[in-house]
Amino acid sequence: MLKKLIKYDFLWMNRNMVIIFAITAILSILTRIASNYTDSAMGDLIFSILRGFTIAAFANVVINSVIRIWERFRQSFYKDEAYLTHTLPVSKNTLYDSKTLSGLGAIVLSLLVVIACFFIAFWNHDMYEYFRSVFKDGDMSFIVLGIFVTAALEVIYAVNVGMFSLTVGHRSNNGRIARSVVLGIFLYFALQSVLLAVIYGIGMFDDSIKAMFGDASDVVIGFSTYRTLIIICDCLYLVITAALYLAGRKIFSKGVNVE
Amino acid sequence: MILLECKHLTKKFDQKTVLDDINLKIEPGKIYGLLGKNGAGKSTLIKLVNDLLTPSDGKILFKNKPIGINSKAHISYLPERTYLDKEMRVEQTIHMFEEFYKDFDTKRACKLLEDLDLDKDSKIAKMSKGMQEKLQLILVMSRDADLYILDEPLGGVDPATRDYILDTILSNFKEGSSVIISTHLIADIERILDEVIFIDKGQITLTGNADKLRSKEKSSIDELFRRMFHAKKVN
Repeated sequence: MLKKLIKYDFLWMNRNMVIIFAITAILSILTRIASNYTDSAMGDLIFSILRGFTIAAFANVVINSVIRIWERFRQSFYKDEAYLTHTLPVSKNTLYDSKTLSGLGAIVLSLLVVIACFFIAFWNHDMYEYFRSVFKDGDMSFIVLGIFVTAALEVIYAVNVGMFSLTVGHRSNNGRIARSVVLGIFLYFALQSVLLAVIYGIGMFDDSIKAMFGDASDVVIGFSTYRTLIIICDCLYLVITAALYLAGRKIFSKGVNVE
Repeated sequence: MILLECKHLTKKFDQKTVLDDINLKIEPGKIYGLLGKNGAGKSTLIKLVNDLLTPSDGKILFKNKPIGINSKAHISYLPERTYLDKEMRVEQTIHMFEEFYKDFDTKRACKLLEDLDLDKDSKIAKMSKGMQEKLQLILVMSRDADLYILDEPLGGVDPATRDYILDTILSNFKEGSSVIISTHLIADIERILDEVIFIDKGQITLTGNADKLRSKEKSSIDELFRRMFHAKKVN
């Protein structure tokens, strides 16, 4: 049943995303083409405009994807479609898992599109050399993969904050959306602050991490620092996201009050 | 055997009690009319049975087990609202029901679609509200369920279509199963009822066999309903 639910959820979440993906890809290709004609003032201007649009399109892909995941969650669990969802012969836990897993898939798909389009639009030898100089002799593939995983976890964390807040907000009988939004914003920043505090705490015992907070300017921030930071961030995101998922699932399994 | 049982079922929204200590038993093979005015608590009771609301107190048992996956596999529910994904086509909704409900009869659904003149390729968003309601009725009545729960199936429908809907219900539910029809349009469904349940202000005020009530009160269920609630209003 979980597979069937995921199929319908994933298709719903990505139904209109195909158009957004296509627009982003076209903008990326145009940006790449324009990058070859920056010798003239007009060419440079066109390139700058296209670059701006392409970067905005990247943000649009991720934001739209997140919003559609939340909207699917709300529509399917608390609005008219809930009359079908909650009467399917499926447990509440399976319903919640389906939304989480299909949301995860939607986020990964969106980020892959963004990364592919980034490479199409901007990646060149100069950029490669720049990153090489920043990370010195470090493993570039680790850094690229690390940044992708951390970005994905950051977005997945935000999605889970939203799902948890919608679940808690919809337990009340009045002002459900307002409660969900307020709780979501509070929770997002509160947990990010905890994450920062933990990293700062680790920095007490690691000078290179401490240097990132500007407390040890004589220490050089190198590849190993970035690697440590990526690993710490990924672990913290995983723990926080898992806690949010389990708490939201537990609350959801106690029952709903559909409008 | 009892198909569905509500024991001391109570539902409160904040401090407001919408259902108060409901005790109810539904037996197999009967058509029940859940009758009450607007806001009496009919839909709340139905939503609780379908796990769309969480009880404040009490229990709901389906074949002696708490409601859950098993009850949902055997209860076919038609809500007041149109719940289908508007971006889907009729055929896709049929396929979806086929995938999720083991008791879904695709052949019956296709036949009913033809009878009601609904096109399989139509997009739901482009169908009128009435057509969407007909489609939902087809989906619900195409299941071989043990219990059909129909919440206001005649609401907002013209009298000619009401008869057609009632005939569709009568000719398609599985033998031995029960039907609960919630409505305030009693005159329209009176002819098909075996049992009646009167509900008012969140409490069950009367239950009984429709024929016995008619002969005892020497009036139709519709008249009895009007008399009961009119009398209460005067008092």
